[in-house]
Amino acid sequence: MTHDRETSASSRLASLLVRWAGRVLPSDELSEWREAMRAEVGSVADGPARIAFAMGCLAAAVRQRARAGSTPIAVRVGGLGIAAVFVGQAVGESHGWLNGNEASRRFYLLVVAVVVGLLVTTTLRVARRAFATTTLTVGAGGGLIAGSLWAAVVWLSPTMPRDASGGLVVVAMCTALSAGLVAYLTRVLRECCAAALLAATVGTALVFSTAELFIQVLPGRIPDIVGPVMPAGSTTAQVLRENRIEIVDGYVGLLFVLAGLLTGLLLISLAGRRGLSDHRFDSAQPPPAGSSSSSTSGLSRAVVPARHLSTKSAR
Amino acid sequence: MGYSGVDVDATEVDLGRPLPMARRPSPQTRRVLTAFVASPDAWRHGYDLGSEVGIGAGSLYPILIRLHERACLESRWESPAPRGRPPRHEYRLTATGAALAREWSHQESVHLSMRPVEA
Repeated sequence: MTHDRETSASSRLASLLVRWAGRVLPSDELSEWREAMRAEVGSVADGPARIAFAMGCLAAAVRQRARAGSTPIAVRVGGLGIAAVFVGQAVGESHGWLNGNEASRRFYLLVVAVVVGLLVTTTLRVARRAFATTTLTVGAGGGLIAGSLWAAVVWLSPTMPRDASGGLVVVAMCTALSAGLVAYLTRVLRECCAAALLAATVGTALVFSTAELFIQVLPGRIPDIVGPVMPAGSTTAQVLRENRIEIVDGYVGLLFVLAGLLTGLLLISLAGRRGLSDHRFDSAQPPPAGSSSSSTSGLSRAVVPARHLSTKSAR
Repeated sequence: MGYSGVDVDATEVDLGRPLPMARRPSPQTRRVLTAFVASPDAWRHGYDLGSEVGIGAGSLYPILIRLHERACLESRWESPAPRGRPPRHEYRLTATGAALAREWSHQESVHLSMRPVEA
């Protein structure tokens, strides 16, 4: 009687643990494993062994959750963070608009709005595991390095460059390095293109933001562009005002480049969507007995060369 | 970070080419793969496999999931379904997994042969 009670308690505890494990597991792509763990725990002899196995399942689920969850969060924080910086800088730029031309101010705000919209859309899309973590890490890392290098160059120079050409060269170099590294690591063209676009996007965004930061916060670092053509007797404040207007022209083109890069990244994320949940098993019911898969993803089955699958069926 | 040091999902990898393996697998992964290689045609259950190689579920399932993601393992549900309990998940080595095991085995032998002989 006591033994039955203990057995029942251990069984209930194991069931509870494996149910927690199922809840902790990333919901979409690992639903098959949730059922696998539940069924496996049910097959283990009742007692401490079953509880230990169920605890292991819970630990495994936590590890999978950590593995799957950190990348999307990092993508969202990074992408939306850049978008927030853009919005803040656009508001600052618009508030202190010196051009006096309302139409150009509206056009500037429209372009920024389009870029921010693309940035948010692409970020949310990419965060849905559109690309491998390696691709995202290397791509974003390449862009960050490019942006940091450019910021260091600007900071160390007595005046900021007149245009973004130097920044674009640094971005292009880091983009090529990122694409090459991802090509070496993954050997997948889509991942390689995504890494290149991501590195170029992050790098270009940082070059633009750095320029805006210097223009708005450190106007003393703006080079003298209009000095030679200013009328004699112009005050320092007038020259600075005109320089501030002119310097923006050298960087505003980056917004169009950024819009193009973001569009490319969005399209590539949509075009090759892996469809992780396309082939998921129903979470409430295990699939029919005897059904088999070579991966949790439906698409992965499609990319496994026929020779791998035919080898198994020939056995 | 993935199991090979490179977090690349099998869904994105052209499996017709060798999978990127930046570093040798962990001893636990080697043990699991060795157990599969020992009887490549057999379908294995998680608990039995873990007991055989001495690995708990906490380490076993992440290994199985990663090998499965890289198409090194195929899985199916137990058939016919047993009475009174849900069908269990069964795993078997794929041709990709067998090739990977051979590659690791080769790398291991090269690595061992390059170690200096102690006097």
